[in-house]
Amino acid sequence: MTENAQPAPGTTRDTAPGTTRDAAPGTTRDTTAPGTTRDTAAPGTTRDTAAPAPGTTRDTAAPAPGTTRDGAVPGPTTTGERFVRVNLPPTLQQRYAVDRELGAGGEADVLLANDRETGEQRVVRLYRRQDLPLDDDKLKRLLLADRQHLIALLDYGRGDGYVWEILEFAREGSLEELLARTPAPWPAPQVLSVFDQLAPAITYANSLGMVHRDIKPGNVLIRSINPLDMVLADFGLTKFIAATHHIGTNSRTSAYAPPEAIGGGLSRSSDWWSLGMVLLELLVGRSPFQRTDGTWMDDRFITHELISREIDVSEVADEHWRLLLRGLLTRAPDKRWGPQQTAMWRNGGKPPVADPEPATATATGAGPTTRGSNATYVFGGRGYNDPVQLAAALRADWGEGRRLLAGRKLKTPQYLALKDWMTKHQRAEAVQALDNGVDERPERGLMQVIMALDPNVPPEFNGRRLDGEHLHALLRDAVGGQVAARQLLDQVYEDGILTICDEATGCTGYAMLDDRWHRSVDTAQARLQQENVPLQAEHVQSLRMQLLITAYEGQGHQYAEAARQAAQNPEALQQQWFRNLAGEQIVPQYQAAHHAVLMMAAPVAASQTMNQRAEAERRRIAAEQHAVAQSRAKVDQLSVPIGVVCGLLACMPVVGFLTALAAIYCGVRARRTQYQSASTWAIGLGGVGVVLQLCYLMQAIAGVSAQPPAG
Amino acid sequence: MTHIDVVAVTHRGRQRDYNQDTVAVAGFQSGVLEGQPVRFAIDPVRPVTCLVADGLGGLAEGARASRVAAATITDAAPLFHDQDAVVRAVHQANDAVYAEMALTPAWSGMGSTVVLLVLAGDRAICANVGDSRCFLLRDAHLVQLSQDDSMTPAGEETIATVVTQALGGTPRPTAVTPHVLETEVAPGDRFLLCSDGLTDELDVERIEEELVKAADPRSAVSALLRAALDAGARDNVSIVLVTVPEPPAEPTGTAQEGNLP
Repeated sequence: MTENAQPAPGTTRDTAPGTTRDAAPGTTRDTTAPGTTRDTAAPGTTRDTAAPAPGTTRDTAAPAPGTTRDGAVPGPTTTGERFVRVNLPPTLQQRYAVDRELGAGGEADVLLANDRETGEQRVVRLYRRQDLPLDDDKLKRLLLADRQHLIALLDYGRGDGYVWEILEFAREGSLEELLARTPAPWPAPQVLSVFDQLAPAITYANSLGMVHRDIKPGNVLIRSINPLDMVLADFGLTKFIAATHHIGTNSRTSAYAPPEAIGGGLSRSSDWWSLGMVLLELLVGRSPFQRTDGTWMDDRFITHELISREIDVSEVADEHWRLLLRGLLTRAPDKRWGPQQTAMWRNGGKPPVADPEPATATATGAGPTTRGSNATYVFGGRGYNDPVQLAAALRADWGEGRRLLAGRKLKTPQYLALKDWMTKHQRAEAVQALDNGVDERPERGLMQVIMALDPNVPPEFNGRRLDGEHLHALLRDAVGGQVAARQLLDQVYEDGILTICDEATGCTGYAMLDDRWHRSVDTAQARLQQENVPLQAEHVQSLRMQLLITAYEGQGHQYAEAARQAAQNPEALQQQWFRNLAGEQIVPQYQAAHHAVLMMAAPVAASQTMNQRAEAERRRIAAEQHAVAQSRAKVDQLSVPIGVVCGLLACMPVVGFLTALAAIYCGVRARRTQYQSASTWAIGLGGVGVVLQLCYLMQAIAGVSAQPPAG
Repeated sequence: MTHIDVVAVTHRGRQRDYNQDTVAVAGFQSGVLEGQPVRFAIDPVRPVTCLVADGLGGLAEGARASRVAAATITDAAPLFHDQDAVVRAVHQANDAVYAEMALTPAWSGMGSTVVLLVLAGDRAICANVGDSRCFLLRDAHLVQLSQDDSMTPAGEETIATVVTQALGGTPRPTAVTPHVLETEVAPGDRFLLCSDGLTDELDVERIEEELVKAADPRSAVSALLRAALDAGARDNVSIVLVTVPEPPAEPTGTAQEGNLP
């Protein structure tokens, strides 16, 4: 490859750091430059001096004392307070005051400088060779180029042992730096705005007859973030220098280079490939050649991949974006999308793509034998270096697998080792599965990992197979009341396992099934909650079970009859809310959910009716008892005066015989009232009366027995 | 109650008449042949360090190595505010074992594993060398935090008798690289440190089950020890169970249990 990373390593990255440490634009420093104040090259204007021929120095009128022509690296000098290793050549020294170094490489030094006249910040790039061939024609075109899309080349020249160029300084740094601050994946609208900046820029550069060849996040500079204003950097001299020096590339560069660049080929469409790679990185979160920990793959590996394989864009969820990426990442340069297709795409069109989209499964289809790795992963006290065998082991020892994935949040060594191992075995889907949503649901993650490791085996969850027939069997067991089956089904529901199984052997349409299942359960639960129907765990279980049955295509009516009967429950119909519920008109897709709601609600409504009835009965009995008690209390009240009167009458003979007893009776009743003393009196008088009556009686008997002898 | 609850026990098992394991909890170090579970309530104002060291080598030397390692780490424990301090202490323990070894030719090659857990504020640092383990029980999943230094050839079982790294363990001083994991601590977390005498006898599933169903930490440790002894306990068994307290129950209605006398 003829890439140009080497001439100025680090330059692209450092040309425009977003940090403005005490850069203090406009500070007056060294303003007393010797001699002339030059008319600074206004943007876009051609300078009055013709492009110099090799060897000529410009403005030799004002050479700084002591500067020799090939004094490439003058001794350390200080500009202002700051130490700067590199001095500007005298010609530039007049116009610019060095602020600080931005970077240095084998071929060039990059300085941030302030324009002495305007105070604007500029980037000065000095190539330490004077004999570089310059394509003045192209450079002039660049000087005149539209600033909207390309970083401005303000001036260039040659002299004092240097070739130099003056560039615009982009305050916000590069896209690479922005990515470090705001890691991808970015939301689609943001990526679209990046696209809107870069695609026209490439189109424009191409229209100037220029190919950038090295578009990558480090070469996309940002003038402002809000609104987003991005420009392509490094169109300038770097290009020409790279052309004369064949230098090896680094991965950071080749990861964005198109396949044809490997053979040294170059075409206008190269930049469009690079754009595709940048967008893919923004959408997915990392380049396909970047490992999950952010490090880059080996250059040779990248080359090999580029030669042998399509770039996998299946991680991009949105179909329209995927289309764009497939168009841009078309391997044949002449079939790759260019300005027209991308513009069409931007307007919502669907331009054709040369290569058919590969089925996702084929990426792993090559199998472990063809690209096995010797890496060994220890699981359950056993070493594995075959993904299929590990998948089998994970299925067999579910608990250990669950614990393994429960370690995801903690980043346990076992978990990290698994991820590393899968990366080595190139199980991208499995690694992806590890990255997605394993946090809270280890078993969901485990299922995904197993499926990704060995997609050819029917899915199995915690020891139960889930393909068509077996799922039916599981359902039957659950309906039959097997606790284990019901719990398993619950887990399958909560972890969304069926979706994961979709497209596996014997699991066609599971994603749809799962979707219908979840939607109807959610609907039913929401409805029941709305009616304040309490749901215990086992109710929820039954609900889920029933709705899985009805979620199957054509089974929606399964519980229609049962629901109809439930809706006719006379007890339940006593309840107004149930009558409303039963009378509701439901759209077909929620019929099944409604059936389940009716079946759940009917017993609740019926028991509400029962409860209401029992409550009424209880109230009636209580009322009766209350009435009895009240009448008794009334009698008790009456017995107070009666008791006292009877007590008084008790002293009289004969009559007192009855009244004494009545007084005692009334007295006792009166004790229940608050007239305690009256009651005591009544009882007391009654008692005295009884004694008196007895005396009368004895007297009378004595009188009767005494008379005969007397008579 | 905001104290960290630690229950620790070490036992020689059923087949050995010596105990080479050493357990240390917050500065207290075990020295018994077979002990009863001991319960600590530790105020976490300073970093709380618990460790299990499993001595390797013939008879007394293994115990010597594990005691030296445990004592060295315990000495440094008050400063365990970050990973670096922990790693430094492990290196010191390694040096100390070699220094001890140099005293007598007969002690040559003695060594010890170590697994330690530091609770410093809301951070937990777990470090280990060798095959003694540290687990975290959270959400009823028993997750291993330590990394075994053992050998497992592809397609074969782990070779239980070999550790690839230990404090000491070779006649010549050899550096160690402890495995370190730092994580956040959540209320109710339970950490289990143990020597391989436990994990060789009981599989993790069983340990998890015992911990989940145990009513309190003391009975959990007792149940584990009992199970290990029942399974044969061919090696010394050491268990340390660290329980992070739940936040104090709020005075308003939400706390039904635990508050009552």
